[in-house]
Amino acid sequence: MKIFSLPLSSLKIFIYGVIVLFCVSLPYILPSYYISILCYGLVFGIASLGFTFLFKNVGLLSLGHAAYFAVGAYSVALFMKYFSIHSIELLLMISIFSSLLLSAIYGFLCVRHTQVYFALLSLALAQLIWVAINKFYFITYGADGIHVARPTIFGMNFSWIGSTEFIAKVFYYYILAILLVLVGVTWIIINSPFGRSLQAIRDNEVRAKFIGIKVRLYKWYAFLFSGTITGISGALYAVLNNHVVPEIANWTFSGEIIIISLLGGLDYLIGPVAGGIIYSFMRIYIWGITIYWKLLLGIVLLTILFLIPGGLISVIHKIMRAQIIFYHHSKRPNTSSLNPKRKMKSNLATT
Amino acid sequence: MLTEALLILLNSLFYALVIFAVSSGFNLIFGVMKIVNLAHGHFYSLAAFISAFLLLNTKIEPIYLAFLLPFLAALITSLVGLAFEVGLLRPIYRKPYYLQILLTLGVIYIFNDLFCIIFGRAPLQPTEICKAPGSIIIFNQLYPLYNLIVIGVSFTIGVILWLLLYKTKFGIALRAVSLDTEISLALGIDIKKIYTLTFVISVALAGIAGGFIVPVIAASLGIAEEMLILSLIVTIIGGMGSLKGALISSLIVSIFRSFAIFAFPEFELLVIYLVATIVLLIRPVGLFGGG
Amino acid sequence: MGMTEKSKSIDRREFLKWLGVIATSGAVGATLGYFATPSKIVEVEKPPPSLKIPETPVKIGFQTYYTGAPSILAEPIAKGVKLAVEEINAEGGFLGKRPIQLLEKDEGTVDDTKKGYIKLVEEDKIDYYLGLISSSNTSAIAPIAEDLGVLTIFIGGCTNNVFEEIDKNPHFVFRIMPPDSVSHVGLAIMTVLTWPNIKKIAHLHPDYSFGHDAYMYINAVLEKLLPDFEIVYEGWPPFQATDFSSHISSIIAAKPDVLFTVVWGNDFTLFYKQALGYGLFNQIKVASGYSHGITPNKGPEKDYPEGCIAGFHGTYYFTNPPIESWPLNKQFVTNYHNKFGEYPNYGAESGYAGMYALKLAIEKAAKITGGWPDVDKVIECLEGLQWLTPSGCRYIRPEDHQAYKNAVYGISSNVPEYNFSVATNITYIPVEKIMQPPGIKAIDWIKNTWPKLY
Repeated sequence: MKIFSLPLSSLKIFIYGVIVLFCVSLPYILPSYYISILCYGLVFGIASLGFTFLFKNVGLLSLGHAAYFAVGAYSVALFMKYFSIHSIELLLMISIFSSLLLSAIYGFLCVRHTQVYFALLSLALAQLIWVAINKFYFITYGADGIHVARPTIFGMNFSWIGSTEFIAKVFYYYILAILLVLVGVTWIIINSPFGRSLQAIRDNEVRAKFIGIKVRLYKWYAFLFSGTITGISGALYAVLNNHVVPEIANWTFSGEIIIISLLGGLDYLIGPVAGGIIYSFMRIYIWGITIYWKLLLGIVLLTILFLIPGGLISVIHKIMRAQIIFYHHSKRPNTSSLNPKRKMKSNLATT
Repeated sequence: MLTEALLILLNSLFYALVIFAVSSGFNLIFGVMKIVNLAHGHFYSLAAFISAFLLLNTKIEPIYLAFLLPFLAALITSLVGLAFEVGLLRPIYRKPYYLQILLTLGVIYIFNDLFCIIFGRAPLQPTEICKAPGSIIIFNQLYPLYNLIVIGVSFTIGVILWLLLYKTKFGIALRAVSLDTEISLALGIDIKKIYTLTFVISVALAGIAGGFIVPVIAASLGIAEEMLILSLIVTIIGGMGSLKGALISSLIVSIFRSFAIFAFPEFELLVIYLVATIVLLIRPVGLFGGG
Repeated sequence: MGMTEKSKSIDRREFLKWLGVIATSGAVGATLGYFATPSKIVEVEKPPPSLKIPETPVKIGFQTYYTGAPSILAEPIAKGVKLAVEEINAEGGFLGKRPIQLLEKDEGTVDDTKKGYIKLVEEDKIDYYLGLISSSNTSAIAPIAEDLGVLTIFIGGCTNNVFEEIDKNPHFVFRIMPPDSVSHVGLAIMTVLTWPNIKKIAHLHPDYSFGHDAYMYINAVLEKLLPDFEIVYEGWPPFQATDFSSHISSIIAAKPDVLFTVVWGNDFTLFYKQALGYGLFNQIKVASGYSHGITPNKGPEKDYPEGCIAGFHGTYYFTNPPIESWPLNKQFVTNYHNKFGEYPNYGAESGYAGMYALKLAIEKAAKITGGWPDVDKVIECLEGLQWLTPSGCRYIRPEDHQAYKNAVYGISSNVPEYNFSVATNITYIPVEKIMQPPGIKAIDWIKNTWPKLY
């Protein structure tokens, strides 16, 4: 598998280029309605990116990631409504700050625990956010939610464009750009010494402590990063959806984030994004066919767990491997050989 | 004032024992089998639905024989639990913890819709049996006798559970397995049988709770998740793997909730979470945890 | 009730005079209310066959809860709408030429409902839209409807916010059911009317904005009507609560004269069944805003105590107007019962009325334009439309596109004809007394303009 050398780098660049071109021109190929579904998929993908980072690299299963999503989303909604802040740049910074704050507090409470306790605690704490949003209805309008107007991007209003066009032709690129930045940052962190320490903690916490890694502090840092990414996706969601409701803080949504991650594949950096896109389309069309979409969702989850634990990207990966073009799917081309342990851990069907 | 407080205490006891029955099963499954059964709330609601269905569709005379129906519902639910354990849980015993959590998460989604398909979306409310025993005067107030019956049943179940765990050979084997699986295996204990029995007993507990509470609170789709979150909170506060912890924290949660409703009605929901957070800050493994 | 009581309590005659309340005996007059005499409502004749109207079906998008907890209140709306569609299509459809094709989608979370709405508009290319009962959804969809330019008739979703804050000058959005403030204010008025001497008040409302609004409006009204009253208990069970026992015990312990509650749907059924066991109704009068609001056959049974105030969002109860004197109601209830095997609730009636409003507006507009009217013309005809519905006469205010009708309340009782608890002694409260004029928020209107009646 490692016989691919220089002649293929240009192939790699060419393929990446084609993908970029494809993504950029999508709004002019597909109708705006489909692009907006795609946007939802990308936003959910970013949310799961946060979750996957924590799970795959630190081994912590968070059942309450919806809390950070909601905090990011509500930050946008509340500050726009009560402080008349319309600049998306400012709103994003506020969301980052608030989800950072929440991650800091919740992270502190949670990282003292491991595995099961961590998962359960994260769930309970997330529910607290859901309760708070419902309870403080005089600020948050409770179950009715808050309407989110269109923010300005780089100071521009785009008021001459209707809302569907705005989503498809303007905001889509914004989401795409943020996605690329976040994926890039995550990649850098995973491959940095800090990232390696996290993986060491994941593999054997006691040993990591013995070689001097500050386990709890690093776990906390990872938690901050993970929560903030999901918070950013929440902020994007608020703009995309024009509306925020308490349900986005509920554990059912946390479950959906997890399913999205699994759907795409935990091994791959773009797994969550792929999962988000598939999930977004699935929801619209399955929901259109049957009201029993939860049943299907559950079956999908179980199928993935038992049959394709690597997610859909792994399926594509395996198919593509046969055709030697798999590099363009795995944006971490060297990691499989560098870290055999991760490869093993990623396969959920074995220990 | 005193009578009001006593009545509130009685109400707390009623709900506390129901929470205890469900969360002790949840705790038991984790302690012995090391599996987090997120679908536990759904076994509780399955029994509630079956019990409601039976109560609504059968006319049993005399009415006190109808009290057998919740037990029948619990029995059916236990059989479902057995199938669940053998079919879905056995393959994943040795797998990492997150696999179990995710598996049971998927099961929740499936159960949710399955119940809709089987029982319909409207809540089932078999209230006749609730009214049959009538109301008695306690502390100068009218109180439904049925609630007292539920308290009695839960209490009896609790005692039986305690006897089972601490006074029988099976109980010793179970506790041994929860302490150390490998040595138990070496000692010749049939782990598979213990696992299965533990699961079935836990589901039966939840089933009896669900079967008996349904005339009061009605079988609806939300009770499973509500009970799951409560079980989680109780487990967090009481500590994993401790039966005593489960009982005491069920009481704590229920009492705090009832008093909050009386004194600070605005903060009813928040109080429970607050208590959990405070306990965790003081004692991260829970009040009686360590296992 | 001695002389000393009278001086302190509200003067019932003064109150009635101020209200202009009409009881059941004046049913027909009451249903028509102050704003319409029959002569003003002109029957629009069918357009002549020479009118150029395409024969293609009209696509109408429709969303409501077919599943889930709100469905017990919401699903009959679908039935009412479908009954109307059937009747209209039996005559060939709109203007006798264009049959209605109803495209249904489930109402759910705001996210899902929004996606469903956008799918209906963009993919299925509906011509008009009807539906919704959740306030969260109408709050979210209103700006979208204005943006996308689709005539959207909300049946429910009655939070005052929709037309007071979110969509102050609606163009494409209308609403049939009265806003929540009408329901809550009417409940308070009806309560004081029935039991003028109440002093100690308890509240039990679901813990979300709907319940909190009820608390706010009811208290604001009581402050104007009652010389002194004291809130001895407020309870906030979560929406879809299952256990009311703690609340019930606490309410009984507080010893109120009356309990106000807008707990609705299955929650209310659970509440009253549990409360019976504690004897709550023996000592405390209960004023419920929604006790008889769901389909009567599924509603409170004969064990529900008599003499409580029965509510149905102040909109409609199937026994009124009495079918002997109001043929529209007779026809509606009979057809509905024949088709669905149950009696209609206020949701069904509002859905039915909404579809007919659309029909009449289209007919009026077609007459003016001489062909199939465009949406702006239909909107023009909807504004100021007065039409007869099973519950009486309704009127759509041009300023805020809100349908306007007298509010109705009843008293629970058991009668031999029905094997469930029914609302009798139906009382009409004139709408101009309990619904604010356009341009002012309901709560401000009550607080700032209502006189103190003592």
